[in-house]
Amino acid sequence: MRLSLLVIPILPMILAGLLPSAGRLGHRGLPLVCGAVASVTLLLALRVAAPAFSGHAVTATIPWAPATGLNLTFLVDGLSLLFLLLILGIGLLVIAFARFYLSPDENLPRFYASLMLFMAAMLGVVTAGNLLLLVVFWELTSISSFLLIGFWDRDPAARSGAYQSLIVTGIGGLALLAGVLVLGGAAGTFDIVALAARGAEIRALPEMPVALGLILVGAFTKSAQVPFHFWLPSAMAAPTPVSAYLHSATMVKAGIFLLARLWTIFAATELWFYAVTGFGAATMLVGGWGALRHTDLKRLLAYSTISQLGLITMLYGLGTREAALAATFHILNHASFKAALFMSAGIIDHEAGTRDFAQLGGLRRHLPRMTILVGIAAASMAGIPPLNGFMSKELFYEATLPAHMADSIGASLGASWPWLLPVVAVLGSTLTMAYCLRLVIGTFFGPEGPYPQHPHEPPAGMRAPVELLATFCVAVGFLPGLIAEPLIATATSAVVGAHVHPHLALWHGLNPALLMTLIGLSAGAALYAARRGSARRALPPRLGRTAGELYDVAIHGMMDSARALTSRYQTGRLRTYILTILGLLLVLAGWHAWHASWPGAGGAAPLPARMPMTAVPRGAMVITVLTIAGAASVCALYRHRWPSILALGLVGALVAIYFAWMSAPDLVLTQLLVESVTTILVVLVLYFLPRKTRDREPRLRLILDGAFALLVGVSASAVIYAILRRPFESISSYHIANSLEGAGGGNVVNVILVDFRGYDTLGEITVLSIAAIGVLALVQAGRRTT
Amino acid sequence: MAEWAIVPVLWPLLTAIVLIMQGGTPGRQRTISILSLLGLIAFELVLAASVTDGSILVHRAGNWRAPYGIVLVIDRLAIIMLLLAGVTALAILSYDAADPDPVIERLPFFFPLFQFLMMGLNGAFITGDLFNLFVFFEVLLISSYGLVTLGATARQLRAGLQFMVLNLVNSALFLFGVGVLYGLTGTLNMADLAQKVPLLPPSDTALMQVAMMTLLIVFAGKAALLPLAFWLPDTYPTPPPAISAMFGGIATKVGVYAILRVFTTVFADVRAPGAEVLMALGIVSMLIGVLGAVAQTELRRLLSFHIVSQIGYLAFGIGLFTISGVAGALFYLVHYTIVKCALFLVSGAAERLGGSADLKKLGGIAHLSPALAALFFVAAVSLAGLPPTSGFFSKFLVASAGIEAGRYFGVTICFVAGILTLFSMMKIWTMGFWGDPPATTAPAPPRRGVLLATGLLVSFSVTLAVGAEPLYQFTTATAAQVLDTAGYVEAVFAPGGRP
Repeated sequence: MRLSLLVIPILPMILAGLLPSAGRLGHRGLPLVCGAVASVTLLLALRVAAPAFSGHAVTATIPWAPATGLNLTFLVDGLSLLFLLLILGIGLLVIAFARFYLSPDENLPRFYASLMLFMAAMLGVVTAGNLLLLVVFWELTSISSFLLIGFWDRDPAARSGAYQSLIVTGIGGLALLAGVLVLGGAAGTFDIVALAARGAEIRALPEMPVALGLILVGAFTKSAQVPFHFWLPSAMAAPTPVSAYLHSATMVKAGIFLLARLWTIFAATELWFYAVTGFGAATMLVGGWGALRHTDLKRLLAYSTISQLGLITMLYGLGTREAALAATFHILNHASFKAALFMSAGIIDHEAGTRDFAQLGGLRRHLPRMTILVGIAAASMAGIPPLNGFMSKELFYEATLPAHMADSIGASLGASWPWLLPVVAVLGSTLTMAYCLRLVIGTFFGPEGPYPQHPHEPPAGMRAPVELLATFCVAVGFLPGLIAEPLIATATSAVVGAHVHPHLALWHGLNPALLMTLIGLSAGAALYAARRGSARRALPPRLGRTAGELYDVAIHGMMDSARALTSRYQTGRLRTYILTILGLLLVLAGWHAWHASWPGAGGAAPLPARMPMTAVPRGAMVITVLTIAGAASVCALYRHRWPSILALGLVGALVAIYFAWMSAPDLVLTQLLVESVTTILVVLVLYFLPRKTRDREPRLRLILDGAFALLVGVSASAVIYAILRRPFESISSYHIANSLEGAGGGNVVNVILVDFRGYDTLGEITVLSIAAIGVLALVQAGRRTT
Repeated sequence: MAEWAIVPVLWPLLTAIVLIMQGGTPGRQRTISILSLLGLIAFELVLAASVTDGSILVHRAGNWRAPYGIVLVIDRLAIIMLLLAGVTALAILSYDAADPDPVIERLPFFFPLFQFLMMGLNGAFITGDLFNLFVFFEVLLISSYGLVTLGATARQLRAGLQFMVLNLVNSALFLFGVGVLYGLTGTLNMADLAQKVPLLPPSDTALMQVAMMTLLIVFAGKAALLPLAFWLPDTYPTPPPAISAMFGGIATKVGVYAILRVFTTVFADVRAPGAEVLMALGIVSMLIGVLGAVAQTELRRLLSFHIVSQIGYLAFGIGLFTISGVAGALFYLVHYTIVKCALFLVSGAAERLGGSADLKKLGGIAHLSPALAALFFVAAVSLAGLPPTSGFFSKFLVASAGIEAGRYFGVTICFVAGILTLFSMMKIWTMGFWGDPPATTAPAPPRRGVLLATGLLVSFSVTLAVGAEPLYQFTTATAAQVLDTAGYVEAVFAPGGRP
């Protein structure tokens, strides 16, 4: 039992992994195999989920990474069941449709592999019982849909559409993850059942608004809610079977599913009510209006999808059980009619060679059967009786009436503006009716268009899925109690966490909802009639910018500023680089040292110097200072390299003199040797370089650079001075004590180098040999290239 | 076992000497290198078996006891780093064996230099002495310099010069910092410093802060945290892809490692201000680094900017200095070393296949070599932190550690940088892998061995996700061990060595 829950998403995933190397199956075999696996998964899901029908959720946990809180926890309840049926049922139809729609020359293994991966991800989302696991599958839907939308990747529109959808849903996915982390961190668990059981406690958490806000961003991006809706029309560059699948029953419904899943936890909060209802309503209207603006058939459907998703979102936002019932029912209905419509759009495109209203019209003579099928599906979408869409629309109207919100969080809104929601609802339906009319009439009626190719009825196999879906729309309308009621009842019960006994029927008597239906339908017809003449044309561009254009502006702005910023700091000039490194160090070290030594900030000032400095004869001091200053001036003022090198060599020799004075003859020898060899080498190298060295620098920059260099030098000297003046104990007394006895050497410096710290010396010797090899490599490369 | 802890340093050194002495064809050098590496990895696995239970191996060089001699310390953290370096190096050498790079064929100095690089890395990972760390940084630097300029094109030399100069500045600062610390405490052993730094009188705090900030800047520069990463984006894309992959994969991690080690030993008691600075640098790197990547159109240069951004995540996680923060960062480190290396290798193959490194000229790689495209896609998704890859776990672990510590701003930047990473990786995909292949080129698809070497790395990333639990358990145990300064000190000062 536990394993079989895991198998539901895994089975299609395994197939997805195998398909890329299964090209031999051919354009007939591939869909057959996919269909077979989907059917097996469906049967399995039905078997496993049987208890869910009677209201018992099936759960199972397989440890994945328990230390991180992420487990393979699965939860199949009524809501999952509804979605499982949609994903697999519509999935089967889409596979059948794709079998006829896609040409055998396409890269079919890639297509079906992406499709099955997507199916698996969706199955995972709806069966996940752990919020983190849900996020995992959620992101997987984004990735796989990216591959699907971009299937025709040689088309720039497909590339940009896929890219856009991935970025937008990717932002949402990360917001969702962040929200889930905040929620799970505060509540102490990611388990959905456990979270749902503690709804009241979670609603009272101080982190709740942040968590919910982030989660809603995730849901809204996925479900194409305003202002994230623009990715959906761009995704229409996908092959039509993909659109039919992603935008009717699956991808965009994932956001809706999430809202339904979290309904019991959050629906009783004000944030939920206003945000979800508000964005849903806005989306419904914006989508409906958009559907009237475009002349591309698929775009019209895309906007209508946005609008319908807005409707469902709004219903979940209302927070009442009636509204949740209507929403859940509409999920099923929308999936059926929208899948039919997308496939029909594909058929029309396939047959007439265009899906532009400017070239369509009058197709009813060529495609009589399609006319009926599209008519049924569109009528269902418009909410015309006796179809299933009508029934959920009626429930929708009822749910917006103030009387139905009396006991809920929306009561105050219902009391102060009782007309607001019903008017929005009717407005939405008006737009729906208008674009449905435009869809049917613009395609099938009126004068014939200049079709690019001569249209005729599609092959029976291509039409069959549409016929099935249209039949379903009618059947639910006539026999709601038999077909839809048990499923919707158990799904809604799972959403609201209590038993719901809906009575789905066509006729509810003469009530306000029926009146609203009538107003909506007639107003919609009037709206269509009013702008009928322009049905074939796009509306003039809207004032202002659409969200999609804003997205483009934002992306371009981001890229431009990224370029500007990067070229500002990545200048390629060493001076800037070193300036930054030393400057940062000065600031950080200075600030923290000051902070640590300032009593006002709780620090303690360094003690006054206690160690006497070794006295240096005054004359030596003067010579030292003069030499250093002189060398520095030579380096700064001379534009030729040679004097600078010699001046620096002089400073090195001066150091050797100090060593001699401190009676360290080995060091004197070493220092002198290193200094002279370095100077000779550098001079030799310079001999081969062009004589002229530096360009003249602006005087101000020279002064600033000099001041900065002085500051760094003085700071470093101050630190060294402070260290020299404090009492000092070190491990070297051990070295001196053990030099002869332990290591057999009288010169402790030598013993340190070859014994106490001989390992360091090994490293340093190695450095020298590496340098030699590096030089050799450079010389050889240079010799062979020139 | 402890007496063998020096092998990870001596082994590559001896191999390099053998390679230099016997010369021979590149093919022979390659065979020796790979065999030696296999032996090293096998040996490191044996070492690993004896430290996984939490014991710490301490080798006293010359048998001088701490703090008077140099100690080498192998604990869980060190073994993670050693194995990562070994595995990355093996993948890279196999990649090069499958499809030898012309530059490397022409200049077989690559092989000894590569071994020296390994020596520098391993030496830095296992030393328990601050000055010895400096020495191995030098080994690393000088061999890196040889490798990044291998081929000696004008662009390489220009970038190499900057690399060298900036790293020398860094070395000078390192010496300065170590000098200040020695002046304060009179010792160089990290465990000894860990004991003596907390005992410093308040009047020395200011100097101690100077030392801490200096070393932090030094290590942050090595790790390529912004604004100290200037040298990286110009240097890494220029050498042959195998070398880029080695640098992109493991070399910058030395800086990160050093921060973690030094701030959990030497400065363990006083690290609070350093931790704040580290997190700030991390946040800046995450965001500004990825914006740098967004601005690029050259494949490996774009990836190089990503390194900066990804290091930011590590810095942020480590800067929390909590068990979950360090454990998440270590998970991230393992994931990202593997994935970055894979991405550099795939990009190298894609550049060859498409005939250009510029995304504007590339296209349709997915049609030319679907297998290569698939490898890139998974690695890209992993880098962007999407499931079902190790990248998802990494990002999620670091972010949840940040949330746990109440660092909401940093976590927000984690997510913003995540989406920008996705944005730029998918830009590579849509521009380079989708679309029409360039008409001018008709090259052969990458060899099987190339796909195999990168495929192993990519599948490792997926395996790390499927099997996240054991690795996370291990990095959590590692984090606990690393944060337990007293345990480290006790191990280093355990009886042994000459009196």
